[in-house]
Amino acid sequence: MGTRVMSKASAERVAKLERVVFDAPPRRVLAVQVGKRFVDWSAVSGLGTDAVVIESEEHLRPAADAREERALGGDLDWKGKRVLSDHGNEVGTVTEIELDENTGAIEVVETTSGRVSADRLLALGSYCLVVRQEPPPPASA
Amino acid sequence: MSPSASLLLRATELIGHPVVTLDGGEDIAEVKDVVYGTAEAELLGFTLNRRGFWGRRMKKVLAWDRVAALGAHAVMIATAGDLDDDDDALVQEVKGSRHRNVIGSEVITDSGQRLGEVTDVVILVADEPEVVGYEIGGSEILTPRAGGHVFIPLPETLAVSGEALMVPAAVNDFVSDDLAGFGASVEQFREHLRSTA
Repeated sequence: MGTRVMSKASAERVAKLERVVFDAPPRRVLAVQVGKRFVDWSAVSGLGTDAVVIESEEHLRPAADAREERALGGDLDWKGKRVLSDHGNEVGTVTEIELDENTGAIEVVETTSGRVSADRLLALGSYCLVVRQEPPPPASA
Repeated sequence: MSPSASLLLRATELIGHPVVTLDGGEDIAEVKDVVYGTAEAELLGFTLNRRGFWGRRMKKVLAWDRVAALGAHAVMIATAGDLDDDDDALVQEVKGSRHRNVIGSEVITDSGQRLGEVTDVVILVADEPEVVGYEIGGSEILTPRAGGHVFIPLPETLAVSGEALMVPAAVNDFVSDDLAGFGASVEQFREHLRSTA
């Protein structure tokens, strides 16, 4: 976050990347928030470490649904978000989310107590990220 | 479901726990109080407060059978709609039971010994949360052990009135004075009751 966002059409700097918006349950990026506006993932041509490139300024639009409105308010920011298992146990907090830069799919969520694969993510809300509890490791002989 | 590590907790430990939706990750309420039934060790559900420091009493309640999971840090429900509205029949049941609380009931053995009073209910948190025993306070007979609080496993059958809980005298042999050792006591006690039935 904070990465500059560039337009492919004009090569101009548009604004800063504020955050990404995931679907629910969280699996992939639906849109990126650029300043106070949003760009659909389909109009993002590159998500690099040096810049996020969007097709053109024309794709910038205001928040389109309740989820994006909540994203604007920071409600769904994942960094430092509490991680709760579906059994009601706290697992830690989110430290990093790794994305596939081509598809926008979440690959893994790094937490203070280890990595959580995307298929275990159940919901991202203002209170917490709910993940499926891992089965206990098999008892060692 | 996976055989998750089981956990024993006192029902009152759930007070203040957030109620969190599995489909939204939202803390939509917190446990205000635990509502007990009069039938054997029945938990009917929870009354709720709104979240936050100024959290006020909610009209909605959470019925026991709508609980998806009880954890060390939260009560999980599938979705926000699982809280029952005030006009629901279940709410009336919860309301009606408030004055017939098992907490404070005397515990008497079938040999006529007073063990103490119920101070809390112990829940075994496995795939299906289950009430497995009571915490008993004011137990002069059972505890020269410090604190005066002991845990007794719940027999599989038991007579309960508004006044007292009747337990088999054999329960004496399965009392535990710490919650950690209590899980084994529950199993042993039930085994004992089955073998002498």
